[in-house]
Amino acid sequence: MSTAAFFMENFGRHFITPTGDNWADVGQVLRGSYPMTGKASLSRMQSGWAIVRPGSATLQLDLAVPVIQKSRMTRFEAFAAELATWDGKAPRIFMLFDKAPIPAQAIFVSVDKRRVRVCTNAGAKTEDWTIRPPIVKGAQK
Amino acid sequence: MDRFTIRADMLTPAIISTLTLDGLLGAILFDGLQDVDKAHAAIPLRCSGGLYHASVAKPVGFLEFGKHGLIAGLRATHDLDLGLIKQGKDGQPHRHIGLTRRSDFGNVMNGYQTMVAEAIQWHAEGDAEQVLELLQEVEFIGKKRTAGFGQVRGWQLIESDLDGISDATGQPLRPVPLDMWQGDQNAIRADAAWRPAYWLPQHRAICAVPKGMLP
Repeated sequence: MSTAAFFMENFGRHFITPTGDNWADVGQVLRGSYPMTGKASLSRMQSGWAIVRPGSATLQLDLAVPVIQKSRMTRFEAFAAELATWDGKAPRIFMLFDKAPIPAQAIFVSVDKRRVRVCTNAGAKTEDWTIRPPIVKGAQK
Repeated sequence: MDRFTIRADMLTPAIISTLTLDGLLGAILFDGLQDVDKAHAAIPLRCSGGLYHASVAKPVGFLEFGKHGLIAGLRATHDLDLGLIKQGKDGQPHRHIGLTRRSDFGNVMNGYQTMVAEAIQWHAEGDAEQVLELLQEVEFIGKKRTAGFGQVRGWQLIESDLDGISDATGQPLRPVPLDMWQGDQNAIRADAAWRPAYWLPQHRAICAVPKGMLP
């Protein structure tokens, strides 16, 4: 399975017409501006989060792309809910958007709960979902 | 083809995330050949279906991780060709660049994870003598070599039974695509580059990867 092909098949093709060069298309999707629901203005994916699954995807930002599900959950709630129900085998892409677009080469598929990749504009951050998070100094119990 | 371990005794902290021996040798060969395909073809290691029998770098002995930040500053009058800057309607760059306003273009701070280790080693299968000959001239490895990181005191060739693909317990020593992986089926799986050039996303696949490796 190609990461770029998975991204385009389940997410990207709802935003642009694929050219066949999947990695170039991934970059195009992440850099592009799209109409928002009920508004004339365009918006880039510059805040919120998205989760891509085989056959479906969820996006926090309210873009006028009807096929993609929308959610108002925070990134923490959404990722925690997804990871809690995920079998750890079927591929997922977890994305966090910020002002600068995520570069195409920072898009990684996660296929193991021990190596969850969260894709950001600063690269992919790796987490092990099977271990408890570290105790933060000063946090209230 | 010999099975062997190459050990680099370290003098300074190294900035290494994933560094396979074939990636290191490919880079050394590229410096001389200036051709990516020729450099990869000349790597003196066993290669099966595009997969080199060479592990990722593994620290040996005392190990400590640290952080190091480097600021890349722009020397506007030396480093930047104005032709590279987007022009305004009047044909001039949007902003004047000068020594007094170079901060407009922003310094960039990059954070790196450093690794202090007694030594770093790789397991591999191939022409051991030729590999050692290529590495003898290498004084620094990893990122930020010109800043002094990753200085090597010396290289040692050690006999080994490992083939550079999996260890004695069946765990992967390097990223191996799942359709080529014959070791522990419960090994960690990740989307990782498995053949050089490792920076190309087209060279990634779902792989069995070593524990602790950040692809």
